[in-house]
Amino acid sequence: MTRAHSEGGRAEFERQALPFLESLYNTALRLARNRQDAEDLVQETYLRAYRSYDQFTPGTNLKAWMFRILKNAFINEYRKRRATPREEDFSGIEEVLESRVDRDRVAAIPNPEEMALAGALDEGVQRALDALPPDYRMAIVLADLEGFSYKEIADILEIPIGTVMSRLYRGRKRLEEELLGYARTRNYLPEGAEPSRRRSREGAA
Amino acid sequence: MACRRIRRLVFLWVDREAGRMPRAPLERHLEECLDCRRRAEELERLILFVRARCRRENVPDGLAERIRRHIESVLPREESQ
Repeated sequence: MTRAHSEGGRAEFERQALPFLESLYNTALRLARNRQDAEDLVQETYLRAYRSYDQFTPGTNLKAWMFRILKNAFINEYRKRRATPREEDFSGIEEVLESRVDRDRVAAIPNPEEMALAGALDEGVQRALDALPPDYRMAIVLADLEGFSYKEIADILEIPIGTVMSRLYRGRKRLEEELLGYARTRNYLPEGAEPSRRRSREGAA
Repeated sequence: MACRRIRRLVFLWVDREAGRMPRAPLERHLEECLDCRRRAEELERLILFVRARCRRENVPDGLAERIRRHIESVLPREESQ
């Protein structure tokens, strides 16, 4: 029995790691996209974390360490499922790719007040997030919903900081397009809230 | 400063990752360049919007306890193998 796996070790692990449960669960929800899978993912994360708790260096960032384990557990599960893809896993993604004709177009979303007036769009945000490829979705969830720094995201996703930035950049761009697309199909887009067609110098020339 | 470089800085700035980057040149450019300013505003608006609209859910009742039990049930089996 290792140090971590003694009774005291487990109590210590729980004391340290359980405060992150809310954060991990909400992130798991955004990744797994339903409650049951999110719960399974979080359980698996804690089990894996406890198994390798001996390898955690005390005094370093336990939250980021736990999130890295969550990410790995999610990727494993995602790959397993991809072997038997369900239609919903990819719905929307290809459409978005095809719709990106003018890559330099400045996409904008209506401002929050307009959106709030236009109708409940929580579902739309969730759908827009769901439609993103998992790599982008993870970066956006970690940065924009969980408030991790680029450095922490780089540690969690095990990628260079430059890649964090490019995933955020591309992911947010697609998210905007998804939100716009959703708003447009539901006629939620108020007159004049269409993306700022850039009155660019190039365009005016 | 060129727009391309500014847009990179805007991204860092919005994410509060700009560190000790001097703000004056960026702010000056944003005052003068409508396109860059609009991009900065759109980016901030998008992030705030998504954050505001993604409601956090409460952890399901009993999940912490299920996690404890899960660990208790799996690990002894593994260790005896």
